[in-house]
Amino acid sequence: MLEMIQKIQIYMEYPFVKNALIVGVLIALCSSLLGVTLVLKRFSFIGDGLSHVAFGALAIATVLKVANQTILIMPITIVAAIFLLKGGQNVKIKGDAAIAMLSVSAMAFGYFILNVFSAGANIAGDVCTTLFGSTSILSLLPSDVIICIVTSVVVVIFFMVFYNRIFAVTFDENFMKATGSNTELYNCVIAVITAVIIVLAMNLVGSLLISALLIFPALSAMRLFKSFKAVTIASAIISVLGTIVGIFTSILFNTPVGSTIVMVYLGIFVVCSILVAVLHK
Amino acid sequence: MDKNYKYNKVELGVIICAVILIIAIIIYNTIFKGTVSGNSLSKKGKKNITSKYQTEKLIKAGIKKDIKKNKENKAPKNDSIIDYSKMGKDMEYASVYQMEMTPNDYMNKTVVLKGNYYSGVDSQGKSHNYCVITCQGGCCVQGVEFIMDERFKDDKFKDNQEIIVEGKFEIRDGEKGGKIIVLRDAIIKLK
Repeated sequence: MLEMIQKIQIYMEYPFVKNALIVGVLIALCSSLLGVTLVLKRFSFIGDGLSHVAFGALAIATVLKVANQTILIMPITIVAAIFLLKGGQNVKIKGDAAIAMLSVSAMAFGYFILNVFSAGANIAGDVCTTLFGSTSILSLLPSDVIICIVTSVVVVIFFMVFYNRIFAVTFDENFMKATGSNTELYNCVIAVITAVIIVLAMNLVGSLLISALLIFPALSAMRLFKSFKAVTIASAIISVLGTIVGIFTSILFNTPVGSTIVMVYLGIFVVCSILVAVLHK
Repeated sequence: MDKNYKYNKVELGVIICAVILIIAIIIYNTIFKGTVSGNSLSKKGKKNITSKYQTEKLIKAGIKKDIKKNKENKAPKNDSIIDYSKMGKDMEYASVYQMEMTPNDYMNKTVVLKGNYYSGVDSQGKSHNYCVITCQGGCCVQGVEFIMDERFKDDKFKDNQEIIVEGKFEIRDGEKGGKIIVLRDAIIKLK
């Protein structure tokens, strides 16, 4: 144990480890705040769909050799988020079918153009990094860290300022509509914020595992607590702690960062479930 | 509407900020300051890390470097050895990536890397040696060129052979005008 702590202390000397921790904690916090709303609104799968769109956008950015890829990925994913939201209201293509369609199309498109047009020799590396995060969280540029900090602050402020509206639109959209509130606007803003978080989270766990960041902390918190407030706070704590434990575990035991974080989340969920089952006996 | 709808948003914001603050303080105290007594590597303690015992512990943990002079979290100062060979693959890959992003921080320092040997020939027919470092999954690859020490010039290595390279970090001009990092006077150890 002592040796492990010393090893962590030594690794913490490296700026890229500090950056990974800062970005990881911020992404975990933002995703957990919004995750509760998404799970309650039955939008859990939207994260998965948008992450695949983000993969397609990243493929385009890679082919075009865009220096700061986030600048291109972010707007494309936001547009897709709005499209999915509107698509969900389209009677011709039901919500889940629209997500599935966009998801697989974007994934196929991304892999297709990476193979056909990519100038880089290491396509496997690009795909592996994008899908599973790989070492991307450990190789962040200072600009990535700044973008993440600014965006996270915006997301947290948004959540705090519009907490009441988010609560209302989550639980009783019809009532909110009846009171004259523009529910479509709030749904749209939630979708946009979700898209922003997904783009940020691609660095942490990769596009295939992003859904875990959104749903696991919320589900674990829902096992323990019943009120929206308590679930939101517990979700944030679980998410941040899970990410910190996951990052340190992966550094110490040389395991992939993204999947380690998700395994930690899964472990927390199992522990919460067992805890609740035992307490309710 | 549920009474939770009237919930005070300021309170929620304060709670979230407090949680972040608490976590930050815990991390700072346990990691940066060090809560382990005796052999703690706290900032205060770092000033006095000179004993053989402490140095051995650093080597054992995977990295031997000049912590005393490394407060800015950059590469260690001159005459120090940066040993990445005992790190995990992902950490070594990330460290080499940093080395390529900020090469000036590593100038004239001795770097130890563990990777696979590869040789290559440039457009002028000159042979080059590389230590290729991959991530744990094997998908991300970084190659670091090395120029062997005179004593090893006649030694032959097979491609993909696992090696440990120790050499002085330098930057040379590439063929196409870019800069290439290179480990000069490299000593090769077979794994």
